[in-house]
Order: sequence, then C-alpha cells, then structure tokens
Amino acid sequence: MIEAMWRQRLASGRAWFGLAAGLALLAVIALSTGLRSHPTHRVRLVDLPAQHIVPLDPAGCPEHVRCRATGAVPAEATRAVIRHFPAARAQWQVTTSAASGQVFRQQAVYLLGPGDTLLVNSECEPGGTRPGVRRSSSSAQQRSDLAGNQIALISLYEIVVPGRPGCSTELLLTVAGDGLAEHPKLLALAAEPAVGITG
Amino acid sequence: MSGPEPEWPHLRITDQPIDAPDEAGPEARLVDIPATGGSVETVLARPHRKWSLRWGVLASALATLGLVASVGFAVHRTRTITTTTLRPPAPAGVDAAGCPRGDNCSPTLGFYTLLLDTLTKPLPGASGVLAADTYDASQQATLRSVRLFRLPHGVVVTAISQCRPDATAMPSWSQNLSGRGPALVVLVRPGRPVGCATAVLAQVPAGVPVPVAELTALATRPDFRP
Repeated sequence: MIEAMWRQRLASGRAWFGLAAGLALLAVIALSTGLRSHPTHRVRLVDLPAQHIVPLDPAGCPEHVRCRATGAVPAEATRAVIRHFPAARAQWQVTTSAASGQVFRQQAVYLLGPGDTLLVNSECEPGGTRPGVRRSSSSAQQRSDLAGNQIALISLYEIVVPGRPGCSTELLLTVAGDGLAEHPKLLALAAEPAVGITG
Repeated sequence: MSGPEPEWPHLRITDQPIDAPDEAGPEARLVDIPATGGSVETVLARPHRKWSLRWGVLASALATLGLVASVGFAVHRTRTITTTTLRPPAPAGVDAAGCPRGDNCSPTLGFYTLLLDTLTKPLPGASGVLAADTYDASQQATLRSVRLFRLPHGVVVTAISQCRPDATAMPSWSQNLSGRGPALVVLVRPGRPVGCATAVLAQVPAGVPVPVAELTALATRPDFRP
C-alpha cells in the first residue's frame, strides 16, 4: 500500500519538484557557508637541528683536539695576495691544524708599505654546517683641519667572506690616509678562493 | 489509434481503454474531438499537467548538480592550508674576525694605542706592526684583539686575546716553549671570565733562544684581554 503510494508520488512531477527544491535549498545553504568562510592558514615551524660548533681558542685550535702550528700558509694564498698587492711582503704566517691534517686556521700578515698592513685570517670551526654571511666594514682615525674637513690618518677596511660551511676568511687592510686606492684591490682579493682554507 | 494528430496540445491521445479513466489519473476525462471525415472520436484526455514529471526530474538533476558544486565550493573555502617553514637555529659560532654570526661587528684601530701599549713596554726593543680589535656593536664589547710586533733578533710575535660567550674554559697548551730557533712557539693560556683566553705565537729565527719568560708573561697579562 505504502509502496504503491510512493510509486504514485514518484510518478507525479510534484514529488520531483519537491526533491529539486530541497536539493536547491541545501545547495544554497552550502553556497552561503562557502561564501562566508575563508581558508584557514596554518604555519607549521620545523626547527632545523642546531649546530654543534666546537669553538677555536685564540691560537686556532678547537677543544679536545691536539693541534700543531707551522710557520707557513699555502703558497697559493700568498700568490693570490701578491697578484693584487705586488709589493706585499709576508711578515707572519701560521697554520694551525690537527694531527690528521685538518686545518683550522691560516693566518698571515703582509707588509704593504710603511705602516700599511694586510691581515688574512681564515678559520674553520668544526661542526659548522652552514656558511656564514659576507660582511664588510671600515673605520678610520681622523682629524679635522682648520677648515673643518675630516682627514683620515689611518683607515681600516675589513671584509669577511664565507667559505665552506663553518669556514670564513677575514681580510683586514690597514692603510695610511683614506685608502681609497687600495680598497678595490681588497675587494678583488676577497673574490679569490685561494686565500681561504681550501683543504 | 490512427488519423492526424489533434491540434490541441493540451490533449493527449492515449491507447488506454476509455472505460478506465481512474488509471489515467483523477483529472483525466473522456472528450469528443472531430476526426477525419467529419466523424467524432472519443479520446481519453488529460489536462496539461502543471507538475510535469519530465521537468521535475530535470529540476532534481540540476539541483543535485548544484548541490554537489556548492558542497565542493564550501569544502574548498573551509579547507586548512598548512605551510611548513623550516626555521634555522640561532646563528652559532664566530666568523674569522671573532664576530658572533648575526652580530654587527667592525674593526677598530689600535695603532696609536699600540705605540703606547703597555703590552710592549716590558719587551725591550719591541716595535709594533699591527694592532686591530674586533668590536661587537651588538654586545658593545671588544671580542678580539690582535697585536703583531717584532722583538730584537728577528723574533716576530703575535698576541691574540679573545672572549667567546659560547665557549667553556679554554685549556692551556704550548708548543716549542724552550730551546732555540728555528721554532714556532705557541702558548695558550685561559683568561677570565670563562671563554676568554690569550694566545702568544712567536716565530724565532735559527739560533735565537726562545724568550720563554717574556712570552709567558705576555700570555698571562691580565690587562691584555678584549
């Protein structure tokens, strides 16, 4: 009886229109819900593992490592310096390394002229997994003349260039005067990979 | 049933027996319509239905499609977008100038102070070559001092004093701290506070005795630290 009643209702268009109206109502509700909603943005932060860097002592030797120092730096490093500063004369060279041959520091000081020096200091800290950041800075010892002009007596230009992860090289130029003629040479030398620790 | 189609669209000719109007719906009725040749045919006619089955099914199908599209739109709009960002740990270590990574450092001149530096006063005949400090503006502190000077007999000495906030107590160690040159002498002594230390390195030419007392005194001077 009931089945027959439903069959009769389905056979009539009125039931289908009722169904369509219900579905349309649901569609409108879903549409309005969608229009009122906005996607939820969620940021998930994943911490990268921390670096376990072993600091170097002032002689360039890490803790718990037996180091030895030798009074030379690789010839390629000196040749790179002389390419850009032909008058450079090495005043000081030292390389600190482990017994295994791993180099931690290369340091050299070159005399460029009376009072002008270039310090090239390259270091690698064990455990460093990311390269450092290049930075450059300068400072000067100045005096004022009678007209109030600032005159540089001695200028310091420093460039720190990152190398392999954990490694970086410091180039420190000390020159009399403003050093504007020497600074481009320092920039060119900073682009030389040979001045850093390559081994 | 034969003959031309009726001209009245609201009439539907059916093959159902004319004596069973109930099965054709309550609104069906028998009507006489003119036929070919002037005769009259009696047909079962249903009035045009307001709620057509065909249109009802079509409307339901369209509504179903609309519902599916609307639900999909709502699901799309209420979704959660998750962005994964890799956060590196705080910069660790120092660069070659002794500046902690991420800090703002600059070199400072120590040349004039070098001339008056008490460091070289106890060393007779010492002459300064280089003096440079690394000043950390972030911490407002000098973190590394480098001094290079020459002693008589061709001995070249580098004294480096540094403080590292991330370091524990630096152990002492030395190399070639006796005898005569040629030798590269290394002497490292911890300082205060913890993390500070001084290293004295000296290149001693051949035949020249290692100035042990002077180098040791230099490495342990409390006034030579950043």
